[in-house]
Amino acid sequence: MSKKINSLEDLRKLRAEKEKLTSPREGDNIQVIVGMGTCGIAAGARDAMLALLDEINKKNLKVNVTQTGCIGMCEKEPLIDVIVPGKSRITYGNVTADVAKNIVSQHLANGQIVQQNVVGKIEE
Amino acid sequence: MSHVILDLVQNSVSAKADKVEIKLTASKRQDLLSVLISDNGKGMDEEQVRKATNPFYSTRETRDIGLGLPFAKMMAEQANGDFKILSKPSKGTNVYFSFRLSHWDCPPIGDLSATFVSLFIFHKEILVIFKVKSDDGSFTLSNQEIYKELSASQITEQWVIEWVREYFEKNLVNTLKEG
Ligand code: FES
Repeated sequence: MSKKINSLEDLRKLRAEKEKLTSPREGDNIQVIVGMGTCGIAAGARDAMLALLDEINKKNLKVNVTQTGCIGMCEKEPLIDVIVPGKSRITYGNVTADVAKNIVSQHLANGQIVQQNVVGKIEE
Repeated sequence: MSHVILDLVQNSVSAKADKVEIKLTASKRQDLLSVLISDNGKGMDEEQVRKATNPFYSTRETRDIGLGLPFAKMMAEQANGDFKILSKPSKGTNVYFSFRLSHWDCPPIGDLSATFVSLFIFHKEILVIFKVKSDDGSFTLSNQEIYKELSASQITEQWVIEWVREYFEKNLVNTLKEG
């Protein structure tokens, strides 16, 4: 099991490197909530979520990603909610990994709502 | 199957557990693939257990329980395995299900590392311990031991996610090889 210790050691080293480069991201601006109930997970919410985070990190955006259980629209899973402060809350459906990436680059980065995947809107 | 594990751990979280242990055993020798998920959440009485395993009951009253339990049960039954729940109110819940590895309907393990990463990202407040065992090895990994190396804001950064995923995957493959 010495391998394991090595690996955590690696993580420490990696962390030291990264800290030199990236400044800590302050505050949560945009909020994204991923529906991770049974049908969400079965429909691919886990992978959509990983794609989402991947893209957010690539674009270096300040986004707070959290999860919730069943949102209640099974047939449209995976579902995510995007809350941009001061704007309407948007619910997206059928969020595949690709759609997730689109949402990040259009909505989160540029404020453009990805219309074809919108399933709900709550006015601010 | 990795999806069902994720779903069942979500149940544990809804049951206010602060510790969840997932034990996966894959043994060619015993022709067995099994999963045991134990939590210290609020538990269920017999009636609730009955409801939780019946998909047609998963309505309002059991809102915080997903369909993971009926799924696990169904999968186990199809692959000639076992399914058991041991639960007591305020004592926590143990869910066990297993399959015959050689059975046609034995489900693929799936992307377990993605499941671990999801739990890692979303359940910082609880202790999640993953134990994997095969005929010739085992490994244990908990989310908390990784958090210790990081600051809170780093947890969702890509390099951490990638590292955790790879780390889990490597250990998993190492443990299950020739299992
Ligand atoms: S989990 Fe059922 S609608 Fe999402």
